[in-house]
Amino acid sequence: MRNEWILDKNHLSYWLRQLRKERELVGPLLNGGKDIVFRTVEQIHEIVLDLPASLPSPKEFLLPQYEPMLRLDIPGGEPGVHYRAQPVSPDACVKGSRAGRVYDLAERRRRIVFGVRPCDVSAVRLLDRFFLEGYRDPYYEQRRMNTLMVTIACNNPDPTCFCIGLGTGPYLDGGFDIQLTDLGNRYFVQAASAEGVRTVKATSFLFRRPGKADHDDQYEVILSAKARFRKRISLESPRGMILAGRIKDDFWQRVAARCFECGGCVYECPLCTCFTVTDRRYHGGIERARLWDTCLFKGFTRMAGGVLPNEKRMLRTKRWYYHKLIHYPEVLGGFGCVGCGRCTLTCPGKIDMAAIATAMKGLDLDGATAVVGKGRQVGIGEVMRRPKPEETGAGPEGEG
Amino acid sequence: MSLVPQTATLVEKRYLDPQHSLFRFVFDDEGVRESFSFSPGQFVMLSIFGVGEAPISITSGPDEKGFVELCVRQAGRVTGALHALEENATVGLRGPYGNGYPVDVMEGGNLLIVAGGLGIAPLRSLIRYVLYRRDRFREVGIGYGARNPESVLFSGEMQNLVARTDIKCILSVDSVPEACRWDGHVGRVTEIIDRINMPIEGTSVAVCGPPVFYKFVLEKLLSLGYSKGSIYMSLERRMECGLGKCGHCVVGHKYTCIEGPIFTYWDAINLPEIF
Repeated sequence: MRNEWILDKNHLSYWLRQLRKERELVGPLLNGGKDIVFRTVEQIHEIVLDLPASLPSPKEFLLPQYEPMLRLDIPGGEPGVHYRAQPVSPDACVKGSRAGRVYDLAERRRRIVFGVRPCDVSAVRLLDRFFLEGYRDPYYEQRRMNTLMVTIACNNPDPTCFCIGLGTGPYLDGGFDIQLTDLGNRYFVQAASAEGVRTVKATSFLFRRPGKADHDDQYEVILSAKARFRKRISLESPRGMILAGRIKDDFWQRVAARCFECGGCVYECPLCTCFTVTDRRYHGGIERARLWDTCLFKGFTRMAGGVLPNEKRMLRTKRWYYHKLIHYPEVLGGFGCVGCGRCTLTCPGKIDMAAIATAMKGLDLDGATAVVGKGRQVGIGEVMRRPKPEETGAGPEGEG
Repeated sequence: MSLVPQTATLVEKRYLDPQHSLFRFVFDDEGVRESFSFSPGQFVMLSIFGVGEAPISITSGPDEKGFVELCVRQAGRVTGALHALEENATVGLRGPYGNGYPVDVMEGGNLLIVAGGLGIAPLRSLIRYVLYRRDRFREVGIGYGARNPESVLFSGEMQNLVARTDIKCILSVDSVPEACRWDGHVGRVTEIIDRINMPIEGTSVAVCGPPVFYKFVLEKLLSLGYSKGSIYMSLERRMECGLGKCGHCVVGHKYTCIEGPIFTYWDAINLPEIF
C-alpha cells in the first residue's frame, strides 16, 4: 500500500493538536512586525496557511542562529545558571572534572516543523550530507533526528521562485517526512520517511485512503502550479560557463561592486552553513556558542596578526558563487542553491543567484546590454529588475 | 573527535623570546592522556575558556607521550591570553586535526626540512619524528632561517642538530647585531639550501614559514629541480571547528583543516588565493 492519505481540512487543527502532544509544534506565524516567521505555536488557529512561497527557511531549527555548544562551570562561581531560556539537557554529558565541568549542550528536544517548503526539504537533504558525512556534527545530528518536517507543496510559487529548473520543487517525489498538497477542501498527504509514516499512522482515524478523483486532482494542481513559474533558470549553464573559463574576473569585479556586504543572502540561504564560535562569560561560568557567519564579511578569514587571505571583496563574492555553483556539486552532488528565491528578495544590490545566472548568459552586468536568447538585446535594468506580479510567461529571465 | 574540548593543565611555560613561548600541556583525563596520538604536522584547537579557540600546530614529537607542546607567538586574542596564563592554569584542547606530513611517503627517501621563523613549530615535530627513527630515512637535511641570532627558536636544540654527523643542519640569520656571537650562516635561507646540497631524486621537502619565505624558498627549490609534488607546505588559515564544517579555512573547495594543512606545492598552485 502506498503511503498516501487524504486529510479533510476540517481535521487539520485537530491533527496538529495530536501531533503537539508528542512534540513541540513550530509553524508559520505572524509576528508583531507582520512578518511571517517560524515560531513555537501556542494557538493552532494562529498558524498562517495562506503563505508566500518564500517564507523564512527552517534552517534555524537545525543550525540555529545562536546555538550554545558547551558550558563550563567555574568552581566557586554559581553553577548551572541558565544563560538562555533553553534548558540544559538533563542527560548532558560531563567531560573533565578538574577545573569545573564542561557540559555538552546538544539539544534533544523533539520538534515538528509545519509548513516547510519542498525547496527547503531539498536543501535539508544536502545539509544532511554536509553535516553527517565525514565528521558527524553532533549538534546538527541531535536536532535533525528530533525534527519532523511537514511540507506543504507550493501551489502558488512566488515570482522569485525557480526551484522548477533545479528539480527541488514545487512538489517532491520523496525525501520528505510528510508532504501535504492542498486540494481545496482537503489535503493529499504523502509520507516518505519511517517517522513520517509512523506519525500519520498514529492518527490514522483522521485519514482516509485516496481515490481516483483525489489522484486526478493532485495531478492537476501540480500541473497548474508548474505552469505558474515565471523564472526558468538552470544553473547548469552558469556552471558550465565558469568551468569553461568564460567568466573572467572583471565580471566578478562588477558583481562585487554592487555587493553591500550585508550578509542577507547568506542568512536567508537554506544552504549556507558557515558559523563562527564565540565564548561568553556569565557569572558562574562560560558558555561557548556558535553563530551564523558570512564568508562575504571581510573579517571572515582574519588570522592572528591581522592577515586577511580574502581581502578583496571580489574574491569573497566570487567565492560565494563558486561554492554554490562549482564546489557544492563536486563535493555533495547537488547545487548549493535550491531556487527558493530568498536572496532575490533580500539582496539590495540585486546580485542574487537568479540575477547572476541570467546576467552570465548575457555576460554583462553593469554594461549597457545583455544578450538573452536568440541575440535579443535587453538593457541591464530589464535583466536585473524584479518581476511584477502581473507578468506572465517567460520574461527576460527565461531560458530563451 | 568532538567539538567539546578536553580540559588540560599548563604544566610548563618555557620562554623562548619576547614573542614566543613553548607551552607544555597535560590532559586532565588519564585515558585521554594515554590515548592521545598524532602525526607530525597536525594541529590542535586550543581553548582559553572565556576568550576563544585557535588552531595551533603541535610542536612536540609524536613519540613523546603524556604531554603536548605548543610553540605559540603572541599575535592575537587567544594567543595573547595564553601568554598571560600562569602555570597550572586550565585550558581546553581538542584534536588532533589535519592530515599531517605524509611520513609514510617520506620514509625510505631523503628528507629536506626548510623552516623560517615560527615555521619551525610544526617542523620540530617532524624533526623529532625523524630523530626517533633516523634509520628509516636516508639523507636528512635541515635548514632554519631566522632574522637574527636572538630570534632563533629552540637554539639549544638546533645547535645540537648542527653538531650531529648523521644530519646536515645549517642555521642561518639575516643579520647579526654587533654584540651577538653567531657561528652559523649569515644571509638568505635560499643560500643554505645550496650548502645542504641534498640530492634532487628521491627527496621530499617540508617547508614552513612566513609568506615571503615561501616565495623565495619555493622559487629556489623549483630552480634546483625538485618536483612540485615532492614539496610539502603547511598552510595557515583561520579555523573555528577543525572538522570541516565552519567554513573559515576553505581555500578553493578544500578545507585546510581536513584536507590540509599540509599541501604539496602541486595541490597548492591549483588553489586560488594562495599566491
